[in-house]
Amino acid sequence: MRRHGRVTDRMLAALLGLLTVAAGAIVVAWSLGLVPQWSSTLDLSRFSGSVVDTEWWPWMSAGVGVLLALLALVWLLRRAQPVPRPPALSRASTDAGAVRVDLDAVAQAVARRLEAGAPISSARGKGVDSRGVFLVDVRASIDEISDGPAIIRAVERAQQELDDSFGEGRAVCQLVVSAPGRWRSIVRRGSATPRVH
Amino acid sequence: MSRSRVPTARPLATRVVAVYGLLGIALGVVTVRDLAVARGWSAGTPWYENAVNGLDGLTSGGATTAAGTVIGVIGLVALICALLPARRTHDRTDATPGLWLSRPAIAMLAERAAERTPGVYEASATVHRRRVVVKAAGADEEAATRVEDAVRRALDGVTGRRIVVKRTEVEVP
Repeated sequence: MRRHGRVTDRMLAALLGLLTVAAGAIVVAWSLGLVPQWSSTLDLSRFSGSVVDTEWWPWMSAGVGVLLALLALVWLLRRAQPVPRPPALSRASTDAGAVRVDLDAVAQAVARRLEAGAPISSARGKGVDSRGVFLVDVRASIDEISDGPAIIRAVERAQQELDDSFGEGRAVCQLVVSAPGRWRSIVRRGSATPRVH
Repeated sequence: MSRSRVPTARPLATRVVAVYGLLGIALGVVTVRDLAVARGWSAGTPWYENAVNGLDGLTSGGATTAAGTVIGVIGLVALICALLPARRTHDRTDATPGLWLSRPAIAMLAERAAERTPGVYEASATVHRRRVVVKAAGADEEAATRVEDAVRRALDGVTGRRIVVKRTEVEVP
C-alpha cells in the first residue's frame, strides 16, 4: 500500500469519525433538551409530505445511494488489489549519453542474489525512487535452518555491490525478513516443535 | 543509510474506512431496492417509508440518549483509529540498518539454534520487548549454557535483546 493511500485513509477515517461523533452529539443534545428551540418530539410529517411522498425522492435517494456504493466499491477494490504501477526508472545523464535504469529489474536481481547467498527464500524485490535515492526493497521468508550473521553478511555484500554500481549512498538495500506463514501460526498457538533423536 | 523505510502494517484507519465503505454499499443496495418498490417494479413497501414513520413522533428520553452516546462512541473510536500510528511489523537489526526481521523470524532463529544444540530434546522461543526467552528440554544441566551460546551466535547482530534460557528436566529412560 502506497504512502499517499495511507494518508487518504487517515483523512477519510478522521472525517467519517468526526461526522459520526457530530451525529451522536446532536442526538444526545436533543435527548437531554440542551437546545431549547428543538421540540422534544420528532415531527417528520412535513418532511414526509413534501419530500418522501414526491415522485423524485426514490430516484434521488437511489442515485445518491448508488454513487456512494460505487465510490465505496472502487475504494475497496483498490485496497484489495493495488493498481499495478509503472516500473520506477532512474535517469543518469553524462557527456557520454543518458542512461535509464529499470529499478524494479535491478531490485529483482538483488532479490535473487540475496536468496542465493543468504538462508532466505521466496525473495521478491521492488525498486523505489525515493527523492533521488534508489531503495531496493526485498521481502523474504527465513529458512528453516538459518542464522542471523549469515543474513547480515549477505545484506552487507548486496549493499557493497549497489554502492559499486550506483555510487556511494545512491542506492540502499533493505531486506525485510518474516517467518514463513506456517511458522507464524505455530507461534500464535504457542506450541513447541518436538524433536526426535 | 538512514533512507530505509520502516516496515509497517496497514493502519487501523484503513479498516475503519472499509467498514464505512461496506455500509455505503449496503445503503446503495437498499436505495435501489426502494426505488424498484416505489416504481411498482417489485412488490412490498419502501423501507424509507417505514424508517420515516418509525422516527416520526419519537420523543426524547433515556433510549435516545443511549443511542446518541453509542453513535458518538463509535465515531470517537473511528477518530482514534485514524490518528493511531501504523504498527511496526519488523525490528531493525543492530548490525546493519538495511536488515529488518519480524519477531516470529527472530523466534524461529532462536528456536532452531536451540534445537540444533546437542542434548536438547525440545525447544521453543518467544520474543518479548526486551528479552528472547528460550525454553529448552535437556537431559543434563550444561545444556542450558550450550543453548545460550548457540542462540547468542545465531542472533549475533540481529537483536540487542537479552537471551534467557529456561531449562526443563527430561527423564531419559
